[in-house]
Amino acid sequence: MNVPAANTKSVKDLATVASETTLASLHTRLDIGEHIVALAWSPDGRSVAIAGADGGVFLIDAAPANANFENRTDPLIRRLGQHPQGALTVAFTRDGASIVSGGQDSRVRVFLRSGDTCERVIELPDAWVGQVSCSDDGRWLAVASGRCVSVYDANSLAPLHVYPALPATVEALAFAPSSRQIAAATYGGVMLLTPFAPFGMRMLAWEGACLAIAWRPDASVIAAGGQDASVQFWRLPKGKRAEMSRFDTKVREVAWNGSGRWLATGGGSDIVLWDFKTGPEGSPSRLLSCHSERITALSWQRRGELLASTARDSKLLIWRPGRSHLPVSGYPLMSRPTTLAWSPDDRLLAIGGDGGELSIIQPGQTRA
Amino acid sequence: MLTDTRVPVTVLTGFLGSGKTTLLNRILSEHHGKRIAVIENEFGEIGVDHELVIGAEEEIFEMNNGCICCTVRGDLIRILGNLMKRRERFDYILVESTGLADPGPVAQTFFMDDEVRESLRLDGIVTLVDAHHIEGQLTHAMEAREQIAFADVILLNKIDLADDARLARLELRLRAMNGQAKIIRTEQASLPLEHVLDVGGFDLKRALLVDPTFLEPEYPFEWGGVYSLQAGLHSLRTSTGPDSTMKLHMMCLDASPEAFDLAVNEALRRFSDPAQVIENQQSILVAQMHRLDVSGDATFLLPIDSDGRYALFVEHLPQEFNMALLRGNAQVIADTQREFKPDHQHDDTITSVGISQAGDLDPERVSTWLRTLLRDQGQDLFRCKGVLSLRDDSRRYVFQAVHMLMDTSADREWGDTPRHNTLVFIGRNLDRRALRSGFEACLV
Repeated sequence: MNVPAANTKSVKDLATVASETTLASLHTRLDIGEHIVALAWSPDGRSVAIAGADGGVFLIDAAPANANFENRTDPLIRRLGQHPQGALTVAFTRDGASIVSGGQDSRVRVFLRSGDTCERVIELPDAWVGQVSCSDDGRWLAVASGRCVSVYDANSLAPLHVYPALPATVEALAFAPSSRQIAAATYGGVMLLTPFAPFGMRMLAWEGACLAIAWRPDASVIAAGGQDASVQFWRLPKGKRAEMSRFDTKVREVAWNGSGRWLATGGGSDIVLWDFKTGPEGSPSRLLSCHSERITALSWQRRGELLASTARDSKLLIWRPGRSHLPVSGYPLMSRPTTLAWSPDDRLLAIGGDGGELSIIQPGQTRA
Repeated sequence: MLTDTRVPVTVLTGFLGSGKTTLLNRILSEHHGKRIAVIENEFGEIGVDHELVIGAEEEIFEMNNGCICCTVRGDLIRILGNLMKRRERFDYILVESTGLADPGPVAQTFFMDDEVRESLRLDGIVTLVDAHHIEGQLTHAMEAREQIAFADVILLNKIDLADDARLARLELRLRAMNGQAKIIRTEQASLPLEHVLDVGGFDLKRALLVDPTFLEPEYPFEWGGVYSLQAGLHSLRTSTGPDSTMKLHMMCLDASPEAFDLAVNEALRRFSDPAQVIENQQSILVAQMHRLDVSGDATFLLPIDSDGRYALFVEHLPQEFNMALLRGNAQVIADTQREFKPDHQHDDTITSVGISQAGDLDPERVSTWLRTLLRDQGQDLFRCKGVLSLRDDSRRYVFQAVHMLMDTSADREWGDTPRHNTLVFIGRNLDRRALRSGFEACLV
């Protein structure tokens, strides 16, 4: 078991940063011993759930760094369960009481955060459970297994709706901010699924493989990253499609800021910012260049203006894109980061690494 | 130079029943000291449990630009990606592809997908062939032809079920389709593993040991026919055609079934001999190399000494010159005939075109030629490889391509070895002459 260490490392080894640089500091660092494929903050910001490539599902205590660990009785890392062959996805229920995970064993596993009772299991037909997602209103749990999407009651786990199979494997799943719709990215476009509606499936078609999706916070646009190094977006409700192409690599990173003005995309070592206030059609995109290798994750604060990015160069960079095209802060990581998420209060960043490292980092006091 | 630490991957293709499962079991059970993961596309009966075997359902990702060269396998991206994240490290990965799968998207996945390319390298494509059934499969199934075309190694398996003559014929046919693959005859898919694993089929530094003699020759004649003739005077009548002269060679055949094939080889040699020019009313002699003056309508005399079968080879197609072989006024029809025009010589539309020639190439011209060729014909070109001798460059220059994806690099110094260009193109409906003249235009 690793003991969290206080950070004193400077950011001198990072590339030039903006003049308003602040020092990011390490809050917690733990090694879970397997490649972290997914992580999720609890709604109260006190825990992080982790899915590991070797199948482990873990619960991490993300208590403040100054807590007195010596006197704690709870372990910092608790192994909740195991998906034989590998875990692929993890989420908290909205009430924060349960952790839901999916894996290559074609099972959804639901664990109580309190650890009181043993896990509940949803068995699915023989296919990887690649995605689990809980609606913001707390009612529904959506699950993608292979080409199928199904919806469960988030509390009772009673099956509510099983949709006909999509044309290909579901690569990403996201509830609309209203919780009234689910978007599923697949080869052939994005399928919009509306539970309990008479015509509940609508395909936003595009002849390519969509790998990642993100709803604009006002649900007026859905953006999807593609296998063929492009980003598609559809303006809703009409579904008019537009395309941004010629990225260096396929695009797995698409992230909206809280106001919905900026869409940040990866797909190479540069972050591209698309301004949806005036465009993006006809208005120039902005480039945030500082990473030296392919971007692996992007995440905006919910309410603040900071954008966090990680890349294969093993660096975390923090940006304030409206103000500067240079990062305001950064932090070197132990292994190649794979996944990234802000805590619900926007104060901390959880970063998973391919070597099993979970880093919780405080971006620093940024001046307004 | 950094060593390539990416995990090698071998793709096994072949129709159901060709012996893939036997070969897999053999690889997995041998004491090779490697930790191997197998990704299986068919429900085989792999029974080795200390190795990892994962099932996959084929999922093709085409791109919205419609380019087949960008098509990849979504299922492989997912499975390989997850495999590489596991703590347990594998030294080698075998991907078994179904008999009906197109090897193109499988191969392209290793070059087109960023994540796959970062951690894995395609070592080679091994195609298993059931010697007993492959001829029918080649005739009826496009997939079988493509699996041959893409292969680095072809295992001609189940040789116990076919006789030597048939195997030799098969091997010729396979070589005509894929002039760069190593063809190995096996029984029960039994062979040393180094013929299958770590073959370096896509490695520029290793894969270019192509023997030009495997490459199908460019025939200097377009037509050959076999006639049964009786002793006595015959004649050959021609009309004005597209050319003013035409080379011709005639020879006597013995009774063996392969006599015509032997005659083709003999004619191949004779056509480069000096030819004796003959004009209207002069005589064609058996076993002589002639150049006929066909600038106007002509009749050549053709004395035949004894009854027998004779093969006649002509530089151009007979219909271009209204050619007819006559006895008296009666036309003698050929027993069998074959066209050697590059576009017609195979029933397989997939062929190899090899170019082997000394001389230096203009670097800019050859680069433009290759890039244009792949851009315009990449869909029909499955694999290309070559070693080039560039002007003012002391190093060998090597390239390889899968469809439109080309990889080029400067290689070792020529040193004492003679500078020489060797290129192989494997594809569908290749225009041998255009390739040849395109290459020649790059020579300085």
